[in-house]
Amino acid sequence: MFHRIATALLVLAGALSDPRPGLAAGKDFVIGLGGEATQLNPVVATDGFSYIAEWPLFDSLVELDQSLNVRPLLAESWEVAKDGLAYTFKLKKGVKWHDGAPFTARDVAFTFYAVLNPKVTTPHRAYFDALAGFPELTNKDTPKRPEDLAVKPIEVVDDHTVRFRLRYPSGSFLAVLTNPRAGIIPEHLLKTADLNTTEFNRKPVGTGPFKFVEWRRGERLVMEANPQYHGGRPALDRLIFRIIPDSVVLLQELRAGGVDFIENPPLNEVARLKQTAGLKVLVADNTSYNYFGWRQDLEPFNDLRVRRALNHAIDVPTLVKEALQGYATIATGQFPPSSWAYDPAVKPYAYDPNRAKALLAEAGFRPEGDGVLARNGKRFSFTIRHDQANQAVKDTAVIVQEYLKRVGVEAKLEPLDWPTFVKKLFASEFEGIVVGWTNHHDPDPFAYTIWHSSQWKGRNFAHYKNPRVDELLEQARHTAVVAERKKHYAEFSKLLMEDAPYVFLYFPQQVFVTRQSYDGLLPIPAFAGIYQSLRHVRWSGK
Amino acid sequence: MTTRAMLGALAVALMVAAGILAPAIAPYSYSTQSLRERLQPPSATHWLGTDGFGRDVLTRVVWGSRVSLEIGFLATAVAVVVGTLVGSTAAHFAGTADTLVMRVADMFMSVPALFLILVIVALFGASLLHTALVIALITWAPVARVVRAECLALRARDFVSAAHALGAGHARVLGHHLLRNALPVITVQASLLLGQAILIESGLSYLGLGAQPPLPSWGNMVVEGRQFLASAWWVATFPGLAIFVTVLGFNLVGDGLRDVLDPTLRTDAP
Repeated sequence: MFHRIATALLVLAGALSDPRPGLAAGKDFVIGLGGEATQLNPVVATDGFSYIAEWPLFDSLVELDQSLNVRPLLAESWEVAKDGLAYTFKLKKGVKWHDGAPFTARDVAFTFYAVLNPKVTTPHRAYFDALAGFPELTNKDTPKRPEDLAVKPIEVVDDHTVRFRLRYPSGSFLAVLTNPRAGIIPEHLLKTADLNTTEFNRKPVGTGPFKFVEWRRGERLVMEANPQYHGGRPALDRLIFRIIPDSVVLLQELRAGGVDFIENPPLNEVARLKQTAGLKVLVADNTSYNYFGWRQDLEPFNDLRVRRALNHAIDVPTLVKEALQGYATIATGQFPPSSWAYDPAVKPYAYDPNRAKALLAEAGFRPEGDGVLARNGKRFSFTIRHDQANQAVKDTAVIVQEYLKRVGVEAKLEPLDWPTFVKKLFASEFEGIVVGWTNHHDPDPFAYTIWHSSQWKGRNFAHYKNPRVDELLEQARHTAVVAERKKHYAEFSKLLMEDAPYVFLYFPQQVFVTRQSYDGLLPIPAFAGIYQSLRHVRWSGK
Repeated sequence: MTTRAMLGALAVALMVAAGILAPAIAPYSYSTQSLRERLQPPSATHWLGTDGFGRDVLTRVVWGSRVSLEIGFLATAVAVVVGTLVGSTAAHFAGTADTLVMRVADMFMSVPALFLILVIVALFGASLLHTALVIALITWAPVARVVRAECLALRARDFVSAAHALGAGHARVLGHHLLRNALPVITVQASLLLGQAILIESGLSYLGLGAQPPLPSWGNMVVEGRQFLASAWWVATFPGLAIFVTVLGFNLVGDGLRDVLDPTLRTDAP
């Protein structure tokens, strides 16, 4: 009864906020997004919502297939030199920008020189460390121009051929040329523009299957099919992203017909959604993981026994099974089980509160009157900062707090808004954190930047340092031979687990709900991979 | 007292008792989780079911009343004391002092409450004390207005003029003649304000700005339960009912008190 009234009220609320105004069934596909893009430009996009929104507009040279292998997109084919130091791409002919101008190799060179330009604010620059001239081109104070270099890192051979030269063989080079972080942008529109601020970032022109139509901030982003798309015109007429920053409202909009597709519904609802006529649930593995971390160089986290105790204190399997309803995989380090770099020999710490207490006692902690441990008069009490908007992270933080309490560790939660939180992260202003890494399907881009000790000012804001890990990450980075990379990453994963710098919690699965009447959505097991398949979506009329 | 007021008083008494006795009567710990028993419907072991972390909802509603009432009483006390002092002083001294003070009160009433709250929480952080003070900050001005109006009316009465003529000082007139006679109005204001403060606190907790986890308040319980509304109605419904009953209780008591203390406003007057 209650449940029916509650549903009725929510449906009513959904119905009041304009369902499908002027939409054509089967021709318009409405995607409900939990947040808004900041920049519709793949070079300067930094966050998940921007990646999702710019993806249909911009094609990259290559893309991933469902087994995470690289396949052609704007590039027709490519050749790798025997020494692994040159990649030559043959580009598709006859590809046009949305404004009708022809797409050429000069656009490719322009795009990646923009990524290397230190004046451009982009999180992707470090991915291209292997390019010849990287240190000179990216030097903050006196950057060289590409023309000044003896060896051109990116060479336009002819209109449809482009060559990248590397300074060392890199196994991740092809991987970093995939969408959504490597879309190609048009030279003819941006040559003289300031990429950080240009109007283009709000009215983009790409080569992708959909063309930009309009963007009403905080409300909707509309795209239409690109009839000249090089892969054939998409079946849909329009893509409409509606911005609805609340998972409960999103779900009600889906039920009421206001949207056709949502991601990350409340997990408790998934079982019922699977039974709901007219809807289908798609599940994909993910490269992202959530973790409970801390500043490695602060007392008492600089004590290995303490770090291991925290790992033994938290019952991750139960958290995954109950709170996440099984829609997650237990993490045993940086790499997801789907990655070739994943080593099944690395095991997580078993949930064992007694072992945790013993380790803490061994480290010199004794319980005080209220049950909280203390060492040399200092209580084991600290603050965990986390994003206040992300429900999964919020719930995880509350669960972590409770498990810590059971072994005598006091954690205070401090939810922060996302921009403030990210600022504090990268300034290393925290004791504990519960947060996630989006991660990359190739091991290098994130493993190196999170765990190498040269990155304390970047993603290694938790200040991890292990000389052997540094060495392994460098060795893995400087070879393109997969077997060798695999060996280095296996040792890296083992050392990381032994050092216990985080409680690696889980890789949450990506859950999507859409209407039964739409075919063609393909959940690729990488971050937001399903959005790549929007060009194949068609209405079956079922 | 009317039946309605008695019912209101009963509801309030029940909630206050629950709040005071929380440590003794709550069947479980408000923070202890049991993930394997999450989202259990109401049963003999968990009368009001369990929440998304397997915590007993009854326990949390009982503890929540403590948090909500603590904040409610503290905020109301501060708002009533400040409002009364400001309102009565303004009325007593009149003239420029009155204009000045009441324009300040107008200023507070003209700023959107939620905006003020967000700014203060962003500046000073979320804590129970801050929450109470913020609520007081946005509710003292209406109290000041009502008290001032009442004192202005009293001030024109003969017994006040007589007191002045007999040489009574400011303190005597203000305390003995104005405030004492305005007491019924102040009491009614306080009881109505209590309900309002609890509502505001719930709203703040709903936005994540009030009591912080694992401490339960009715507001943060409703927001936690919202995501389960379609599958586990009990998580959000019972704290919501607690808010409803308490606020209604305070309002009924307030109405009843007004009827008793201020015969001119009595609803059943001939």
